[in-house]
Amino acid sequence: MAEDLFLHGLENIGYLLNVIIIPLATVLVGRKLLKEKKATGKLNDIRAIIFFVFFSFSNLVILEFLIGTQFYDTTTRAFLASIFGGTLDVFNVYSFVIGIIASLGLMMVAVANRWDFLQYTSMFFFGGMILLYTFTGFQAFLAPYIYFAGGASIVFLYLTAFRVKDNGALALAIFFTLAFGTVIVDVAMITGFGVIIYNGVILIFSLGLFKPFKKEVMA
Amino acid sequence: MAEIGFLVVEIIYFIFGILTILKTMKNWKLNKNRMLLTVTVYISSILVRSIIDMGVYASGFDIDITVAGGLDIGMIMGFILFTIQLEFMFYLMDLPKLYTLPVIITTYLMMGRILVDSSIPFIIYAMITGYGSAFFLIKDGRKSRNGLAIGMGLFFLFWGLGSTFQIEILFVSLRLVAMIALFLGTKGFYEKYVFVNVEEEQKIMGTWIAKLVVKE
Repeated sequence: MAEDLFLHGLENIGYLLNVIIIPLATVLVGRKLLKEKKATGKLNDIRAIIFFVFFSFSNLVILEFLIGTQFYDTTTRAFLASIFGGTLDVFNVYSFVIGIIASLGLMMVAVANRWDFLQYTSMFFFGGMILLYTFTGFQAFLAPYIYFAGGASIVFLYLTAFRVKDNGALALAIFFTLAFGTVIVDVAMITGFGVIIYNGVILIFSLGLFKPFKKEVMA
Repeated sequence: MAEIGFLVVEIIYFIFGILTILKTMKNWKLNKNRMLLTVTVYISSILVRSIIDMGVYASGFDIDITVAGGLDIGMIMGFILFTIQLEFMFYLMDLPKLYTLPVIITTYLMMGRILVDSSIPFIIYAMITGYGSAFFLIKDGRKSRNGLAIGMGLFFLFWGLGSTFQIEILFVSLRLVAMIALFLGTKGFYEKYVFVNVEEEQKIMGTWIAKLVVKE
């Protein structure tokens, strides 16, 4: 009983932290992006990708929070929950946003390594999957793609982060590890703590305090 | 009877294709321009398809093999050709970030063709690829006075028109027109007879006006 209460509390703290910290981090990263754009006249690709990852994740947590609250009657909540989904094997708002985030992760790897020809490949691939689903209803590749893209993003982001000494890539690698970890490992205790930890990482990073590499090779 | 007619057109088309390859290879040996090599590879892959078509017309029955769903070997060949065409375009336009796009589009279109028996996506893809490439190449060819680019542009334009209508007689005839247009491009026809040498023209005009003035 006490354990259930503890887990429930942990889950609620996670929800609240998500809905406060992730949009806040998005605003902070967005501000930095615009500031840099004004100063240099150029858009920093890596910062822009990080911003879009946070922006997508913000939308996801806000929607999750709104659906989870008791503002609506049961029928409306059931309807919203059916659109939002929550599984990765069928197309819904949840799998769509997770797919975009995973694709952006691969895109960041390509940008950081200057693999020009691969820069938009993950986005093209995911976009094609959406179009194929729209016209034929085929969605068998969705879950394998998300797991593959998520896993590959994590591995390559760590490799890239240490190779080019990039703080952004490392922060995103840690965030992806914890975020995808909470999606894959469905144990309430691990998920609860995972959410709290990745919120901490995001907050530290967006405040500009995450600098394990003092001398970055690339911005 | 119609099959013999198609076979004759196909053989002429094939001969023009071979002549185009020989000419581009000869030019490539002289100036080592990579574009000529790309054109050669592209035309060679087109001629592989032509050999299959000649076999179809000569034997009198369709030997197209269905792979799965509505996807057959002929369509796979078509997809491969359009992929090469689009890759070629992105290479010319210096857009390396889009190099993987044609392969991804082709993969999904082939999957779509297996799942749904409709050739509309293929026709739309052929139209976009054909007309897009034609527009870019003709525009760029006119600007840079490059006969080969104009020839390629006309080739894609007629080829695209043929693919759009999906009527065999039109498709076969327009393919021949396309190959002749490309052959003329490699032979330097457009530089010689289509592009007007502005300086030369002004010189002639100047002399003519001067003569008029003297007469008066």
